Amino acid sequence: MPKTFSRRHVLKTAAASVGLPYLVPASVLGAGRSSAPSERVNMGFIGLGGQGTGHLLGGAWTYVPGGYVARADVQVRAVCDVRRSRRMPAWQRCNEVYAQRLNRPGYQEVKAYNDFRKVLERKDIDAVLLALPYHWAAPMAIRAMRAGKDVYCEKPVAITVREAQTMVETARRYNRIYQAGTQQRSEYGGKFRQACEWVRNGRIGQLKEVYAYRPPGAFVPSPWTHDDVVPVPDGFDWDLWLGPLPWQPYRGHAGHALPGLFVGDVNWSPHHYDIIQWIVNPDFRAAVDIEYDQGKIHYHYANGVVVHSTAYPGEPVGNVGGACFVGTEGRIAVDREHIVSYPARILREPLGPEDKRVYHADSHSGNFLDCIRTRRPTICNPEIAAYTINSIFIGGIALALQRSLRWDPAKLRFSGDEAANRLLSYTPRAQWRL
Amino acid sequence: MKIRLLKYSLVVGLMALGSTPVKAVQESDFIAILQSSAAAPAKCAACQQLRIHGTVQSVPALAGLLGHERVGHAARYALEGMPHAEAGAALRDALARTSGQGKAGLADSLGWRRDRVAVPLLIALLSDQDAQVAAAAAIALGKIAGPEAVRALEAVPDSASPQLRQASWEALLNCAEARLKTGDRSAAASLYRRLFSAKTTLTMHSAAWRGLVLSDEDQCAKLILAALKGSDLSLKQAALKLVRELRYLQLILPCLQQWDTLDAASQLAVLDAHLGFGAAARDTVRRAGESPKLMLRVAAWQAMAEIGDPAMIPALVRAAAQGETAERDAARDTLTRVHGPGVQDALVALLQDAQAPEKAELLLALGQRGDKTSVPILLQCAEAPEQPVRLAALNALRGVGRPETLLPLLDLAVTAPSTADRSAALKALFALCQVHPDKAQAGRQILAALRDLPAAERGHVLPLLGELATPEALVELRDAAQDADATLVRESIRVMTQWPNAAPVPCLLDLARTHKDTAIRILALRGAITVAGREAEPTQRLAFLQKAIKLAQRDEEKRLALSQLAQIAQAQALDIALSYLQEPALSNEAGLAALGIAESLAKADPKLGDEMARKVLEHAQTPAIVKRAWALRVRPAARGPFIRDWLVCGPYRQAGASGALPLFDIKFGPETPDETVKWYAARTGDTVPLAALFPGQANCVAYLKAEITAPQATDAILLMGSDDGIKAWLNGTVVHSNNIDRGQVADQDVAPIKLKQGANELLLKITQGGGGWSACARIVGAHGLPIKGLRIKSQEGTAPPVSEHKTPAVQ
Repeated sequence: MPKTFSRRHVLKTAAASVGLPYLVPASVLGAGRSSAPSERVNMGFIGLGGQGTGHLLGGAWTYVPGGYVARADVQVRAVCDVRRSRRMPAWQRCNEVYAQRLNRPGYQEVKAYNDFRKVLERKDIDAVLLALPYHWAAPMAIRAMRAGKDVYCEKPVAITVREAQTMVETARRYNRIYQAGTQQRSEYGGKFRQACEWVRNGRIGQLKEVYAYRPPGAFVPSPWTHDDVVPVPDGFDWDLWLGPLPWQPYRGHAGHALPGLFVGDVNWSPHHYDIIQWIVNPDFRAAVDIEYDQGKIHYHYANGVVVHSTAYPGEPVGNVGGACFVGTEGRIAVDREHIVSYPARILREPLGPEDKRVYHADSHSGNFLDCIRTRRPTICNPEIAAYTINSIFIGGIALALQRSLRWDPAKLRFSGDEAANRLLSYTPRAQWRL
Repeated sequence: MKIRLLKYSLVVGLMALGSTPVKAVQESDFIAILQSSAAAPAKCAACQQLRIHGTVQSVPALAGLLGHERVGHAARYALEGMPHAEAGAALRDALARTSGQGKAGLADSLGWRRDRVAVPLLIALLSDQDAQVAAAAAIALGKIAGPEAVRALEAVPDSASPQLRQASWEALLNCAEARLKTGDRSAAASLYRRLFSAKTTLTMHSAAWRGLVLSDEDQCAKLILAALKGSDLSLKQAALKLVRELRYLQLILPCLQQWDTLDAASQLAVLDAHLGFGAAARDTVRRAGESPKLMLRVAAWQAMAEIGDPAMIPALVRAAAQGETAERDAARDTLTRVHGPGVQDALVALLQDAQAPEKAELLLALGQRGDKTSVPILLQCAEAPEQPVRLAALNALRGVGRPETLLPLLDLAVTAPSTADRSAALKALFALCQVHPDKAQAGRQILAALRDLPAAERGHVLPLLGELATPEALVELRDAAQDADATLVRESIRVMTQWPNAAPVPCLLDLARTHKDTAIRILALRGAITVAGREAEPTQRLAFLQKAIKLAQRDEEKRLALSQLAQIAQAQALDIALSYLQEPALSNEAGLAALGIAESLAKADPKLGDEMARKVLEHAQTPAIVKRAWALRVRPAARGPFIRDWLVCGPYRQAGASGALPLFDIKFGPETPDETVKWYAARTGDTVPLAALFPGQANCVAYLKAEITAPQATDAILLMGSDDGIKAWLNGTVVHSNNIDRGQVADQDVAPIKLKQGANELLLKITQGGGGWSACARIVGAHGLPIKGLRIKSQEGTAPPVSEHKTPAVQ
């Protein structure tokens, strides 16, 4: 028992607490079909592209059936996007849904915004869901938490180590609940949780190697700006879309990221590396050696595990958000569709009472909403999200510099490589400082 | 001058290759670019390289650009990242000659550099007329966090701009955290206390409260308890989070003393925190388990899995048997994994006196726990008078079967008092057979039991032989298949059909040839064909199938055999398949088999693939076969040019339809005869870049239309690629349909088409979920080569150019 507590103690216990397996069904927390208005979580949705609209309204691809708007324990208050063509259909649809459900024709209480700051100013909004271009994720999450909102943030949750660290410190300082949108810990029928528990309980012997199936990535903008100009479409706030990024004229690109901003992969890799961190369970403060090998990355963790950025030769399972874990007595490959083991009997043998379990959640959005009510840490809390995204950045920086590096996660610095350290942050436009 | 320009071009070109450090390019080259008349993008690119590699030599050149409207930001980016003192000096010096955003940015960079020398300059900026500059200075001072900074920040007057006030509070929080980090608790507490008492915002108030709790350990428990019991929601939220983060016994114990006065959310937080102390939390778990609040009880049962308190086992079992849904699920889950000293004994002891529902829960849990020592109790309970108990025991035995339980289970299956009991016993036997270490021994025991059974009962046990698949079991099945009892014969054939390898084929073929009952002959033949597919050796498999085809009287069995042929990549198999092509009732299966074989063989012999496809096409009856055959033919041939002249319209969307897939079958403009469609002309490259033509669109569709003039009527192939889905019409008839969410690859879809002589209208519908959006298409002749004389009409002038298209505002 610590006689006194320190920031380090708080950090350590916060990280350790996620090992507790708990599952509080929403129905227990007053989230049944007829939630009283006072029990509903009032939410704003910022960023209404495919991912954001899927969360809000549901859709064929989404793992949130019917979307948040269909949930009785959520009241959608605001929708926001810098594109009028995205925010207005969402605004219209949300109001239609509520008009029908409440039998109130002409319902107009969901408001539409171009500027997210107006959403954050609203006192009646408890939480926001952010599904944004990559460069906006951390800056907006930080602003939202400073404004007292709980945050669900789609991946990648940051584009630099500095952003990720500021996100962690802000969530802690302002007592916020934060869920990273790396939903594989909760969704897909528990396949990833099964892989985690089987590996952590030694079912493949001692874990030696992991194959990640995706390269890591990092923010290394090229070019910084350009002179090509295409007229900005009517109803699109280009300057606000750019936000913290260096100013440049619009030239027709404004998707998840501008071309050339990143080396490697920061889009899918968060799913792969999140699961890998969960299963490898490294010491969050121990040094990691990052070996650069002709365009491939090999992470050497202090517990002896080596994570390769490549696919396991000949093993197709792992390609969609997954990985292949190789131990001294077998291996397990997992992705969203499949989980397989070699030998097959490994997965057939269930866990016993003495086996350790990990944090159990069956719904990623449900876990977020439950934690808003209980103030328990989410399954992808800020510390976990930052550790995962940082593991991607450090590999991405090794890719960019084409050399091996040594990472000190306690100091959030590379040891003995000044150039690499200079890529741990960038300088946003002054009006959008972190 | 020309040489210099050439060098800049080279450097910029090398930089454009990526962020890779290009050793050939020296720092001096980048400095030269900064000092040249190069355009802003080139200078910014040089700044980026200097951010990574720059030394003090670069500082003057970068400093000279800090006031530059476009390049200044990139120069600041480079200098901010440099560890050299000269970089800090350059940023400080630039403060005097900049204003607005430029100045605010410099202040921010100095803050990130923790530049103590800049403190007086930043303090002066707190009075800047530009609120943004003043706020940036405040934030920077908060990062530097020395005593001077604190004094200056505390002196920011209430009359300051809201931006500066907010920034100064945030900065003071930073200063307080810095003090806490260095262990100066009292200084931190004092600062937090002042912030807590100040008139700030709710979030700032609760942040200051949190800091106060962390810095003042004497007051910690008192403050948290007050917050938990108070009415300030933001403080309560902070307290609920902090209790769990701290897990501090000196905080938990006072909370436990006031347990009954806390609300459920607070009790839950205290319980969570106390669980970090393992068995010491047992009393807290018990109190939670007795709570009238469902939330607490669920948490208690979940906690039991880790705490393992034998005294709570009866309550846990009761919750599993009688609790509300969530409570029952939590209790059941915990029963399968609760562990610790005395737990297993407590579970078994409870079995003796438990009522039927509790007993059933206990039995299920014992099975799921995989505890093989509980087998005798489970076998005993499998004969209990209450059916729920019997079924629970038999279900549990599925998880803990041992070789010695085989005979008792067989006995239970044979003497089962109901169908449900027998089914449960057989399932347990199946599970046991799957893991039995000695299949032959298990087989002998089952065979011995079988012989003692009347024919009516034997059929129930036969499936177990299929699970074991031993040679002795096959002999037994062969004998059973000769029995006079038709039901037993059918069951034997059914089990042989499920055999994991081809061993039963001769027996099944024999039955198909000799049995007097036609229905049984057909059943056996179908079984033989099915099991033949499990023969690993292709030549042997082919031999089995040849025999089966010869025996087949009906088209159904011939079709079944032909479908198996497709997996045998041998010329002889191909000949057999081709020999049935001309029989109308069999041509589809024969065609598919021939294509399957030809697809494998075409890898080594493309000519053969082409020839086989041609033969299949002569008799093909279904679009799927035609499409597959064309794909086989086209592969080795040369391809023609892409269509580059299009009319485009869209984007179309429908409220509530999100993602590419739901939009595919919704009819928009060109599909609805009465709707006027506004087309635009687009002359494109090989690919139509819809994402660039209609920027920033998601959840929508666009249409492409082209006019193709054929010199004469001809068979042709339409090759397409699309991101996302694609539907194609030729002269108003749908010729292709692929509802999919994907990226584009040229020629990923193929459709056979018939062009008429003269003008033909090709219409494509391309769906868009999000991200990339594009399509490409081309038409080639039947041999995969360009069609001579085929013309695509230029659309220039027939409609306004697509650059005039304005994305419609949807409201």
